[in-house]
Amino acid sequence: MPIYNFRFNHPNGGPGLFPPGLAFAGAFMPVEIHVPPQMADLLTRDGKPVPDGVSGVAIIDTGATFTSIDESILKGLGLASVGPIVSGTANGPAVHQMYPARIVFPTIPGFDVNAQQAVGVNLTGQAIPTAPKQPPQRIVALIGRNLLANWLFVWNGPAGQWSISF
Amino acid sequence: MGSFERELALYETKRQELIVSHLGQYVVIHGDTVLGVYPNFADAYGSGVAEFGQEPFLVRQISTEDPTAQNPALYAGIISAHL
Repeated sequence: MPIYNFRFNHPNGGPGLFPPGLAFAGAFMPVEIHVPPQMADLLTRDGKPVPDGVSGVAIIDTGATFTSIDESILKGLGLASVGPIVSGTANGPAVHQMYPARIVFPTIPGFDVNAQQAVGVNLTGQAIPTAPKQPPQRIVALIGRNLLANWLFVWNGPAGQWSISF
Repeated sequence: MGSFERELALYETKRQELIVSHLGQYVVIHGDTVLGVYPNFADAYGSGVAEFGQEPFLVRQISTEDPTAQNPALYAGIISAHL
């Protein structure tokens, strides 16, 4: 079972790890949102272009039941909803749409999640600083417990690092 | 797109028998047609795409309760705190 470690280095290039970075930014990683392979195969068979994936950052959100993806990305990929879902919001229950999606983790060779359900949400304007002196990166997804159900996830706050294995 | 009124109505009429026979699996419904029941979402979605192409179709996990999504960080505004 491979284990992938993510750690926060000292922002000024100093030695050692930087635990406050993890506390500040959370467990995030680069992702790409793609159409599921079944849809890509259909488009290819029909002679239609397969849309390019959309890159950004995903944050692991242990408080979320389902993984969420920015709905504008899902619609931009031409994906159709596979059904509604009721979400609890600060203003009471609201209906959102569930979409199929393929989530690729480019920093983890060979790992992607195919045809997983995700809730389409509005993440417009959400960004997170992922490295010192770099512009904030766009948040495109929140990894919820429906994906974490298949992973081993370790948060090591004192060391400023976190790990996943699957 | 996204209302699935006919599909959800059909699902409700079939729900009890599906719970008995296929609890936890995934059913695919398009209009008034039940395409089939599948062991996981990926298989259900793939079968729906193979049959209906890019037309919307409903994929529902067979359950005694409707699915709900909770995402406190997003809806309580924690994520939208500008960093």
